[in-house]
Amino acid sequence: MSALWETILQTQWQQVVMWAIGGLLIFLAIKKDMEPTLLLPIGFGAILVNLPLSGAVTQGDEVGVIDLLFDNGIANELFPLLLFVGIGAMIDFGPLLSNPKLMLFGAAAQFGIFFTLSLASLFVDMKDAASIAIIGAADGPTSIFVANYFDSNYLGAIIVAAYSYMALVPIVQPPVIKLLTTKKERMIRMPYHQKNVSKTTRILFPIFITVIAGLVSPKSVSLIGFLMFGNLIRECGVLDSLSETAQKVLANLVTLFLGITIAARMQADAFLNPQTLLILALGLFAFIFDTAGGVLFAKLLNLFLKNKINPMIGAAGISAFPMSARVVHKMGLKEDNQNFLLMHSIGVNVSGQIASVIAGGLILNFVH
Amino acid sequence: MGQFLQAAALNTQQFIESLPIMGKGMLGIFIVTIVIILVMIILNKVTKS
Repeated sequence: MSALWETILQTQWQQVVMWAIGGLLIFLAIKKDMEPTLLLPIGFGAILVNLPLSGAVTQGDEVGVIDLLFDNGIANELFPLLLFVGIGAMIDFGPLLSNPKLMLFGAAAQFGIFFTLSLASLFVDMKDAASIAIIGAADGPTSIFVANYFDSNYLGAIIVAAYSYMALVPIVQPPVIKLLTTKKERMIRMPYHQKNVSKTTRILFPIFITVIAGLVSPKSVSLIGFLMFGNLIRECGVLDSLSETAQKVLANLVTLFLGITIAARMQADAFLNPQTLLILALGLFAFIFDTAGGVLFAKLLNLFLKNKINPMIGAAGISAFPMSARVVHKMGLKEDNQNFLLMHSIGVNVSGQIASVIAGGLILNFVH
Repeated sequence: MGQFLQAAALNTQQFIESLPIMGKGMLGIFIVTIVIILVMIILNKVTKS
């Protein structure tokens, strides 16, 4: 009985705050359906590691299972890379291959990352600034990879921010898009002309992208390589069973452990500090400016184009797939119920997946 | 928090150093993207024939 009291009395108010944060994440996952596959395990993990004397995390000489998973799954970048195999197997690059110009929006939508890098460098060390900036791409695995590579002090907050903003795409993006576009622009129709993409192109594409990205940024070649490996499995046509496993079993299994393992960096003493709030704010800034970059770039192109582009599709150039494409499509339908932007926005959205990884690779190259 | 911001505000030198990285990053992403677009166009043309 006295041992029980002893444990209870060890509880600190910061831990109770973390329970509340964990509870909030679980609530958002279940009630609001916000990225439940990630927010629920993260939320539960936050409670698990913040119990007084929790055996889930290392206490003295006793190694906790969450720390063990962290060291062997996240610290060595294994989980994000395995997840990328699954994501690659899920992506159909067809809409992008049939209209390669859409790739430009993926590039423009990474501007927020580089803006934020400079802004964040005012407040934190350059390597932490680079890690925080990647949040803007709403690309969880790349955020983990970059933050881990730079051994960022704020890994937990960065991961939570990256995945939370990914879940908040339907809330954050529409006001930014509306602010930057007129109703007339949002009503621009873009007819979709389906073009056949040969199987050879679909097979060669992931190989070529891996080679290009590897030559440009060797440090990040594993990121794009694993993404494209997953896609090659999908497109080759002879590994359907592996493709299905990568898309479902592998992706689910890694996501499950990734979520709860992230909690290793959500212990109250490391998480509850002013820097976490700063990171959340800078991450939001990056996310908003990534969205704005894509929209403004489309508006810029419209100054020169005869067939105008609906600038909203530029906002889909972030990595949050397919949420961002769906948001743009729904906004188009809201303005004009015969305006179907889905195929264009999907094309831009998959280009954002590639571009965010390349942006991450460039940052690894440029920041020392 | 105040102390943190006060200390952080001193990093203007680092901000200035980050500007070339921002420029190189934006330029770099566009160059790589254009290369990828060209590859996609060439792939489409070659495999079509």
